[in-house]
Amino acid sequence: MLANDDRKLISQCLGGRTAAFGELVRRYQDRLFNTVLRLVDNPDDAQDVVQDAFLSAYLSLDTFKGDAQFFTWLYRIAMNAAISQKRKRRVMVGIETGANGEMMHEPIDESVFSQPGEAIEKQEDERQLQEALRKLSPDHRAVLVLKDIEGQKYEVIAEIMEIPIGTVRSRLHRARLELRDLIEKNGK
Amino acid sequence: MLTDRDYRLLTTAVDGELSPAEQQSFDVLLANSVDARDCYGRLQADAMSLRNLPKAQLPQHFGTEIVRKLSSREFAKPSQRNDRLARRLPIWANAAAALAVLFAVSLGTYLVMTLSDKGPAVAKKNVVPESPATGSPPIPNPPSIASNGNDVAKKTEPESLPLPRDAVVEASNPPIVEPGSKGVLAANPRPGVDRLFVVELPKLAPILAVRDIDQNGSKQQLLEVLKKNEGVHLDLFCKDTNRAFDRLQAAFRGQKLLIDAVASERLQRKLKTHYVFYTEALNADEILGVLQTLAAEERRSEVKKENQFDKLVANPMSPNSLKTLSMLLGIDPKSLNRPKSAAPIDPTKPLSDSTADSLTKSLKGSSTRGERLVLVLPYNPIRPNPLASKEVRQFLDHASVERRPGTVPMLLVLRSSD
Repeated sequence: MLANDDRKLISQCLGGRTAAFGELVRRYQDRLFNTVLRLVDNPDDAQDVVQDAFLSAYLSLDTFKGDAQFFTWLYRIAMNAAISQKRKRRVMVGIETGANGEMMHEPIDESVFSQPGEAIEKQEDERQLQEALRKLSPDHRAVLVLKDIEGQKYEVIAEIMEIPIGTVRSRLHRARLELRDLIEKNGK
Repeated sequence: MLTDRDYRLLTTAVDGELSPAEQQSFDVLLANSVDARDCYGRLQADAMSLRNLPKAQLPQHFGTEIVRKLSSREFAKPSQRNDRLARRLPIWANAAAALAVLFAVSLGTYLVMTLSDKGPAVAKKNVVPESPATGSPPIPNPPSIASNGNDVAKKTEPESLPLPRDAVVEASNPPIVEPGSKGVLAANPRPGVDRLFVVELPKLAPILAVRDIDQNGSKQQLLEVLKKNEGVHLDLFCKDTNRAFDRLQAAFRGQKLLIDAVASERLQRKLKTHYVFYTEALNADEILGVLQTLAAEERRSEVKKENQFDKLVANPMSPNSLKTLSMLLGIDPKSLNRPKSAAPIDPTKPLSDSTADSLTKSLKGSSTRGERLVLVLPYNPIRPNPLASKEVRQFLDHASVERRPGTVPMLLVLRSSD
């Protein structure tokens, strides 16, 4: 189950070679960061979550059984941290919405008009998508990110999120429809 | 019209996890339904867009930083922790430790109670001369307690209270009891015990009534925060931020307020918003001046029962404040920590191209040169992309060129009290 390279690095790390853990960090840091970033929105928070995840992983490395991929185990730690942080910050939803729940509208940035039409359109689509993603619940967001951005299978998502495969499937189903709905509403 | 089952098939297809049977149903559905094809296309496009969102990267040194943290003492190696777990103490040792603690607490309680019972009498014996008229027999001193409060303190300190010297009040000045007073008990109910400790209270941020800011006590407290720190974070509470905004704006007379377009729009629409005023252009006295103007105006408006402001909380600029600031300005807070004084000038060194450029730029003069800028932004809700704001960019351009010596960065958040 465990990739040979990871296994080797983990055993070196358990043997006291901290630098081996550094190698594991470098191997997964960007991938993990991109996933977490889509869950917590803010790059600083994402960096904090990733850092905490690595440190927690190091501290409990001796409990890692090796029956799953290292990254699955690492993702589980990071996703739990990210989701719980997101839940804690739900009170701060008001930060991005107004008194009546309306989204903050960016004032028209003149510089955008200097860009080619296609680029503007792409940028606008991305903005709408990110806005819609932000409005999903942490659990729905997590499954979507793991499926579409990380490209994971139901089984792996179930393992990372510690939920049954059926739940992954139904969460993904609801998340996709909700995301579509939000994009259409934003587009109007 | 698509059924719930159809939608499930479509989303599972987008997930790429259809079973062979589901695949067959899916093919039939797509072949027969335009709605299904349309919906599938959209869902597929959403998934594709998510996949193609721009990728971010962590700084190169991130891994090194983690390793550095792991090498620090707070993180024991997993192998070492294993050793430690293996050397876990047996149950009897834990029980013995618990009993020892219990015994120590009981002994301490006994001593405290003994001192409180005997103490007044002991002190009385030493301070107030025994009246021969009372005829009462002298109270013998318990053998374990010295003959006065002073000795009690001295005796107790090294044996049972291993405190640093400066944390122990020298009990060399026992309370003076005037003849005819209510006695030692009232003056010092537990001699030798309650004066052994000096508890230093943490320094709290001053919370000032806005109307009193120009009064001596409040003024001093505020000046202390403004002058002793390299930046301040002020939280100004009011009844209605939209009304209070006008007053605050008036108090900033002489400074140029750069009001962000979103903040401006929210003000016009009177949306419930907290606003932030950020400036690096004022020194401590000038900031105080602004707040004093506000205080005077507040008192005037009290007469008409139109008072707006409640309390002002003044804190030094903390790392959290800087983090907030970086969210508001869209730049790394480290770049805000510019040194106050310039590096020593070497007159023999030729001017660099960049210096010459800056000089030319400043001589040509931007529209804000020499003006004291105060940036106004919505604080809640915060702008998702601050650098899209023309006013933020203008403020940052200005701030990066010049900063008067002695100025104190001020982050003032105007909040409603409810």
